[in-house]
Amino acid sequence: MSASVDTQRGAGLIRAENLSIAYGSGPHVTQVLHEVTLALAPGTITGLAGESGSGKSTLALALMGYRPSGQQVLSGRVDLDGSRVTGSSVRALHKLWGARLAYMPQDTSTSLNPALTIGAHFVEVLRRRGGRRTAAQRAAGWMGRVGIPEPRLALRRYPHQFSGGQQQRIALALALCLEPEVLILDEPTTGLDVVTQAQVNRLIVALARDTGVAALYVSHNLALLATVCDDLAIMYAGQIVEHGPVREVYRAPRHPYTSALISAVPSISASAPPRGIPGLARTSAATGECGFLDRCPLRVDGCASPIPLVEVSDGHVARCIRTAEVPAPGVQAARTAADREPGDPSVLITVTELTCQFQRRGGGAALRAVDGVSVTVTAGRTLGIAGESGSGKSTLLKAMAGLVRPTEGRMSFRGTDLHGLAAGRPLAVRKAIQIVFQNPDATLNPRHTIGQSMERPLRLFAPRTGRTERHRLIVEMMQQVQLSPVLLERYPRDLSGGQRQRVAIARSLLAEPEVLLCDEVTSALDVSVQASIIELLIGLRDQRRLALVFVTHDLGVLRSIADDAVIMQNGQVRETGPVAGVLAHPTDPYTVRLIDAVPHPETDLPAAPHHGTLHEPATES
Amino acid sequence: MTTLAATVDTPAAPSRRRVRAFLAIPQGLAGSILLVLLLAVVIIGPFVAPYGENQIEGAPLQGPGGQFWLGTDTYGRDIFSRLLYGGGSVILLPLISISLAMLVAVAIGLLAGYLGGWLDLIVTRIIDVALAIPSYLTALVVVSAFGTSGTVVVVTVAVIYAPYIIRVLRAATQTISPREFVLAARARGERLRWILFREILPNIGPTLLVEIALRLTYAVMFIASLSFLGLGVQPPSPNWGVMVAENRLLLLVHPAGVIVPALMIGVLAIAVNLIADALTQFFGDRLHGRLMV
Repeated sequence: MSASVDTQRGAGLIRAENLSIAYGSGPHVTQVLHEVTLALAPGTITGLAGESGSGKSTLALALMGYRPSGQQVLSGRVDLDGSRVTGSSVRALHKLWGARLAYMPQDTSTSLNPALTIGAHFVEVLRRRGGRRTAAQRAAGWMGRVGIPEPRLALRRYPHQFSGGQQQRIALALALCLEPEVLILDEPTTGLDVVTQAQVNRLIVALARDTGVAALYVSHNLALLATVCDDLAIMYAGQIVEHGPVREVYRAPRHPYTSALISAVPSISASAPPRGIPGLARTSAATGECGFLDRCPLRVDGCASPIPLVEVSDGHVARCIRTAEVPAPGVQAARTAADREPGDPSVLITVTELTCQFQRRGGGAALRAVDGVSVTVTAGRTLGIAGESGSGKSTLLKAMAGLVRPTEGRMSFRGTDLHGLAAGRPLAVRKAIQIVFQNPDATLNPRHTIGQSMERPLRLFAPRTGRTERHRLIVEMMQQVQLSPVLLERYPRDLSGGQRQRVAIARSLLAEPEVLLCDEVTSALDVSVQASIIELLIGLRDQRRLALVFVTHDLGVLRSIADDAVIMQNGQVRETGPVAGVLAHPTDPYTVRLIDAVPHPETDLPAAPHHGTLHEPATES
Repeated sequence: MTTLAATVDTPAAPSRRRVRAFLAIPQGLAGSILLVLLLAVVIIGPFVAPYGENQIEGAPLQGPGGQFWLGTDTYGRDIFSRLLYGGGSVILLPLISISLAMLVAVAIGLLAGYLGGWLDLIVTRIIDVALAIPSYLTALVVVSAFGTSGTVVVVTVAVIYAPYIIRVLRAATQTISPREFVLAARARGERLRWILFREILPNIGPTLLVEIALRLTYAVMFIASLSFLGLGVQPPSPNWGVMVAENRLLLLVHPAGVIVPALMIGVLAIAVNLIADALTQFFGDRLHGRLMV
């Protein structure tokens, strides 16, 4: 299985050869793929990892022969079993799609037609082979195979009657039901909760093994790919920079980018904070030089010329001229709260038996988003709050920020009661408690320049500051979050997601808060950007003795930034304690389930075939 | 980080680029040209008119000719001169009316959309009722109660159109209010006025502009219609709507006196409507990144 990675010479079932693709026309051409060669072998799952803009989705679609409008193939080709896919007529492609080449998209809400029953979806696909008569039977068989209970009844239901995880299972069954030779999975579990994600991934691996399909699993989640795939290909700036057996690539990467990317993945078992990659990722393909050049710690003069793929061992290639010197993915010395400068562990916020209840529309029982929760926030430490979506973790945070009025319980700041709404709190308290949000697209007013946004907390909380002094403070803060003061004149749309998140953090810090509430501040970001934001927050916390409250759904992120952890489910606290203890020795069954679901490359890597149960009960909700 | 300055180029004179991009849309160009021409007629007209607006210059009901370009009406007044005088009220009254409606609607729409709760409930119910009443009926009742002055017409039309604008602004506010930058402002403890006018209003500016242009189109037609029905501007004032009404009985004998003023009203409405159309497209393009201005 592992000998099938011969990117340069080997045949493979489906194969992209020197593929270069660009978007746009005339002077606005952006090349997104540059001379990509990739072969997939039957019975193998190849992982394709890369950050946004690396070209991984373009490559996945190109393998299908799909050509969106505005796209042009500059050179190269895709072959399926020796016959050409690129440039085929639409009619020819329609014969290939489903039957030989199958695609499973990320978002079932757009791939399944809400007006059709699941059975109708199957008939649509199956009638092309074997006729309608046997279709129902075969469809029911496949529904059973992907673990949908009562398959025959399920065929009569509509997509919305299934949970997100079940919809993905159905999409998988639809992709596989004509027994294709190639299966392209584009972030198939990205929108799902971690427990459901693990179940669906086990199913994907089991079915791929079972059917002997040549699968390409595209994901931004490196840890996940490491536990699911046989081979791993890493994309950067429109090129495949490294490709080989997953164990080798993940354990001993031979390209500086791979190494840096793996170092950026927060791990649930190591307390070392993930490391960010300095600089910004390029958004177009690198054509004449190494694409990673300007961010690479190992760069030499020779890097500016086109770099060939170098075979570092059997079936393992890397696009670097210094493969031998690439460091192993770094583990920094662990820093825990105890190692940090001891200060007075003063309690800042106390939340006691807090309940936030929402009235449902059209009556019915009220929803208790937060249900009798008690936590304490301490200066200089991070309180991490984790849980799946709907666990109430964000509502709890918003209550502390004064954005959601609690229905019961009390909150206090430095011993005095906290008003339920921010507008009712004194200026000093509003100044001391600041919040940063999840979505970098919405966190800054699109109609205000960065400078205007940054100025606001100063005007509000330090109204006596003069104009020049304000400007000095803002510039200083920009530098502290590693942003160029040039950006102050720009609007949010001119900034990347990571930059916007830095501005949002800087804006909060200008108020000189004592508590910084972070609501999933990294979950919309690429892993390397996430790592640099985590680094930044940890640095600021230690430097300013900030109390951080960090809400996240990612236990790896929780491990890397939190000192104390709170695990929530359905509005209630399931488990609480020091983060290392909670994650290493969970006592609550829910915590155990959550931790088991996290992909764990450190222990799962030895690529023994996964034993996924095919008929596991669909427990996801 | 040092590479940043090089990668993002500074936008030069953004307002001029915006105007150019707007005029690149065919409707925008056509509407702007028409509107500029009409405004020129309305503003310069009274100064260049050959005769006074209500002067009886010649025999009644003369056909178009060398002395009276569009002929004379029943009283022997020069139709062409009356046309040049009569545009002011046709443009001005709707403008004042819509500005008035806008002032009220922005306040109510923003408040109802942002605060929600019982205020929103009351506002939406009132709007629902208001929209159910035919606008001509409202105008008829108000005018017969308060008489026909310019003020009454302006206020009536403002009252009739305000609910439409409130509804649009309320919906736009509701989509902006839950955004995180508004939450951030609330968490900072910003005053209501700041949140409404500095955080939310700039983001619904495009919606507001399109709505203004659209309502202006309707108001032009509506006030002209009211004048035609005798409910708006009163004779002997040379309003285009009044002129159509005065001369309508002579349509077959003397068509120019009816068709030309009607045409002017039509062109004005079309011009404003084209601009509204172009604005919609302009902001849509900008929103979807097809336009970088």
